[in-house]
Amino acid sequence: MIHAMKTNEQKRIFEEWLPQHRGLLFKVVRAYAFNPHDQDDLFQEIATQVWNSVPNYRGDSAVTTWIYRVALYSAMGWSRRERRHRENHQAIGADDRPLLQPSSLENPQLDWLYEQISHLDEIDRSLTLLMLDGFSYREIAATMGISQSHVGVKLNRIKKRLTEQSKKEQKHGV
Amino acid sequence: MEFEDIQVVWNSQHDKPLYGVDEVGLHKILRSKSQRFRRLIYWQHLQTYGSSLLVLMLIAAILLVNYFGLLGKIGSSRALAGWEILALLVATVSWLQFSLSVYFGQKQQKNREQSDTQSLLNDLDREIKHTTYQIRTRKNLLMGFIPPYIGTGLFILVVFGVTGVSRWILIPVIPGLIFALVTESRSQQRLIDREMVPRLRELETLREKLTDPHR
Repeated sequence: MIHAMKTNEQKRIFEEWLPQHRGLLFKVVRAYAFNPHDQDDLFQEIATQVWNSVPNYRGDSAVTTWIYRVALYSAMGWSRRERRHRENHQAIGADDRPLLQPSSLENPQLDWLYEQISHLDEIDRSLTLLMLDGFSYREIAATMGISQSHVGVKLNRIKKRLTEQSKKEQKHGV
Repeated sequence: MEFEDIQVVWNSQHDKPLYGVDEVGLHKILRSKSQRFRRLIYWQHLQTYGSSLLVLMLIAAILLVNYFGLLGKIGSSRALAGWEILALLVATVSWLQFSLSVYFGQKQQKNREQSDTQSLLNDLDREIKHTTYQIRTRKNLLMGFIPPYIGTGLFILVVFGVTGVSRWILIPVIPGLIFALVTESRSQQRLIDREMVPRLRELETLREKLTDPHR
């Protein structure tokens, strides 16, 4: 893919890719942002990053993997910035936009899973999303820029943590 | 839950947006904002019709008093000259033209905006048409205001003439009328820039969002 991509071409690709990968982006957004305002903000941030990065796509990985990478890095950056911002500014309270409502009744088990993911640190959240979406250790390692063995160790810990937590909560009737 | 079960839970999610637009809430807000906007327009029209009625009644009163030869009783030393009657008739026509064009324009627009269903999209379309019309009519308002201001100028000229006030008084009155005309059209322009254009933009964006097939 050439660097000096024309805006029309960039727009065409962006408009084709974004709707195709909406589901993936929503997963990342949900794992990193926890109220409608933040989710909207993060989605915009990721969409902007995807737009800016389209000319840099060289076709050496699948589009889905590439978009996942852009989305995860954007989400981690956004999350760090937001945390710093919130440390410096007193929270005014979550801005639940009155004109937004959950689009459908969610699966409580899925809500639980996202809640568990939200308790992980930013890198582990990304690793978990990639693992749950069926990426191989090699692909995860390439995406996250860490070694395969490190990915293996981390994912085993995460899997153990998730299953233990679910069993603990089941035992307590949650 | 074993990890395989967790994986099943993960795979069960769809790719619908996390949040959708609350159309009922949005419809309520749209209606309340529209009511506020229409009230503002209503008061402006009331001012137009009120001032037209007032000037037309005064002109009719002067013409009647003159017709019955009663001008002397209200302090005039003479009856209206032919050109003064003509000036008052021109003033009448100017004000009538102004208020009737506003009235019929509004009526026509109301017919265009009528729709059978009260859905959110229909209401949005109606408000977009209404706001676009209000902006369009105000764009050339300076020209539209000229006839009633000429009418007012002629009326003042005749009243000063029959009451014996020096015609020199017109020297400050004419610039005063021009100033009022410019001020009026500027305030309408402000209304367009601060209220109407942002409202139109907001309505169009909302419509775009609601009709976006990917939302």
